[in-house]
Amino acid sequence: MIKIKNLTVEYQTFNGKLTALDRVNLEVKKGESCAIIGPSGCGKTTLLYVLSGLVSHNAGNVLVNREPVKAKRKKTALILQDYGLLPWKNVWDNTVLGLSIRKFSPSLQKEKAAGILKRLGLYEFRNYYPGQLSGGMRQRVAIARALTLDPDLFLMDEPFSALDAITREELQGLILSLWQETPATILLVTHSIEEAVYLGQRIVVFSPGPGTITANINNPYFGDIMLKSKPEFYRLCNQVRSLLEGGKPHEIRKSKV
Amino acid sequence: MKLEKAKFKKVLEIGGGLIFLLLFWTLLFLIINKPVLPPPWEALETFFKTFTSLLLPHLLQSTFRVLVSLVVALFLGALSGLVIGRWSKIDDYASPLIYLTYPIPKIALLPVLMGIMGIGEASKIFLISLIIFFQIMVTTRDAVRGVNRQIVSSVVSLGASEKDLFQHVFIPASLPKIFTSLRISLGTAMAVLFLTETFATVRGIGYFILDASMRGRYQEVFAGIIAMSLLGLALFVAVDLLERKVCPWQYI
Ligand SMILES: Nc1ncnc2c1ncn2[C@@H]1O[C@H](COP(=O)(O)OP(=O)(O)OP(=O)(O)O)[C@@H](O)[C@H]1O
Ligand SMILES: [Mg+2]
Repeated sequence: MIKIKNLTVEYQTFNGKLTALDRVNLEVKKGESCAIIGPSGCGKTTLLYVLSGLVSHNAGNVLVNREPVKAKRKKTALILQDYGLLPWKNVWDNTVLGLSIRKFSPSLQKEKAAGILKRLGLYEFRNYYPGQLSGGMRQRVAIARALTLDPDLFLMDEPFSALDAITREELQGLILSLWQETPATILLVTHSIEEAVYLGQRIVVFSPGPGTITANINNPYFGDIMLKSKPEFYRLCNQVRSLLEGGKPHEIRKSKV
Repeated sequence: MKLEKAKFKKVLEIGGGLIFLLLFWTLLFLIINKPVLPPPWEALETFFKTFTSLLLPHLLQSTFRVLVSLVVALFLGALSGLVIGRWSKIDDYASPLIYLTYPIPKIALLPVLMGIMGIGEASKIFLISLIIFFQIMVTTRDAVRGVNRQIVSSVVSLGASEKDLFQHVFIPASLPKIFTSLRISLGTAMAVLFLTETFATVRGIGYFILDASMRGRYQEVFAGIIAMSLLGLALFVAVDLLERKVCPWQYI
């Protein structure tokens, strides 16, 4: 589904070039769920933007479904940390936005949006504005909007980091059960080791910026809804934690002292 | 029921302000005690007596001028603000131009404008529009620039074209700010209106006030001022109502 070869991304800034991603190689199979974890500023968001075609890359190859990545690919859904909802549209209009931009017929829009909003328990709130919803509900609206376009690739950038622990677990469960209903390819950026282990079939660890991949591990426990109460979960979390800490720039720390 | 209550409250608020103003006026009248400041009851009496016969034609003329100016400036100011705010390449050239021309005291241009456009309506409307155009344009531009990048990215990833972005993101995002700038512009517009009407015209509330003061008819002067402030109040209320209609998400 995703094939990234030697991807390098540079930004132009005031003081010259800044390398955000440096020769990244990554493959994600169709229907696989891949969690990406790494220190702040290592280029995780940049990677998602490249995959959604919003940021162009300087070198390397990026293939989505065997085609070079392009903006506005119809079946790629992007879900961002602060939900990307439009404050001036109510839940219903936010949900059908993708459908109406893609010029689906009004009856089809209605049918799809109503079904998805009901599935996510948002139908009664369809006339509410985002400002009237809790953070968890807003993120569910963002998920509903993404689902309307039947995506086969979900790109999620720290989607639950602004939520309280209970809401976060509830939404993590929702993502898992949605994935089990219709397995789509998922790329989930997260700062939370537990979230990476819970939602990542594959866990990819990035080094501090410029980002390179330092570890790419298979998670044999993925898909187990009860995982969080098992000792294997904590063993894997600890493994990921030590991988993350191994990637820290010790030289810089030393020179500061 | 709730709406009725809100309306009642609004009337109460405006009424309170009015009573305070009248009391203050009376106090000033008592302190100053000169014919240049008539008491409010005399001014009000003149206002009601002369409203249809004298004031109304002038008031209508002024309303026409200020309304046309506001609509023209709103349309052109918002449009250019949207364009300049969206494309930074244009902004690079437009901003220096704006900052060079914005501070020019454009009222000083009135005689020149009259020389070019004649002493009719065109020069007055042009001047008022020109002055408030800048306020609206700069506010709109900044509103567009300030749109959350994550929102833009999300909507683009849903397949939005540039046209979709304006329709679903940039225009609604800047509407509340445009209304704010419109309210500020309203005060400016009334002030400029008065000035243009004291110049080479025999119609308009500004002329009426000036003419009455030259003839020493201070009751009429204040009747004219009352008319002008009522016009301002009506325009403010209209803008508020329009905003409630157009930006309902602002009132949740
Ligand atoms: N538009 C931009 N222009 C210039 N530099 C940028 C831009 N976007 C990101 N960067 C830089 O690129 C690097 C990677 O940024 P990115 O947002 O991808 O990191 P991240 O891994 O998502 O960080 P975080 O975990 O804090 O969200 C950072 O050093 C950042 O300053
Ligand atoms: Mg990020």
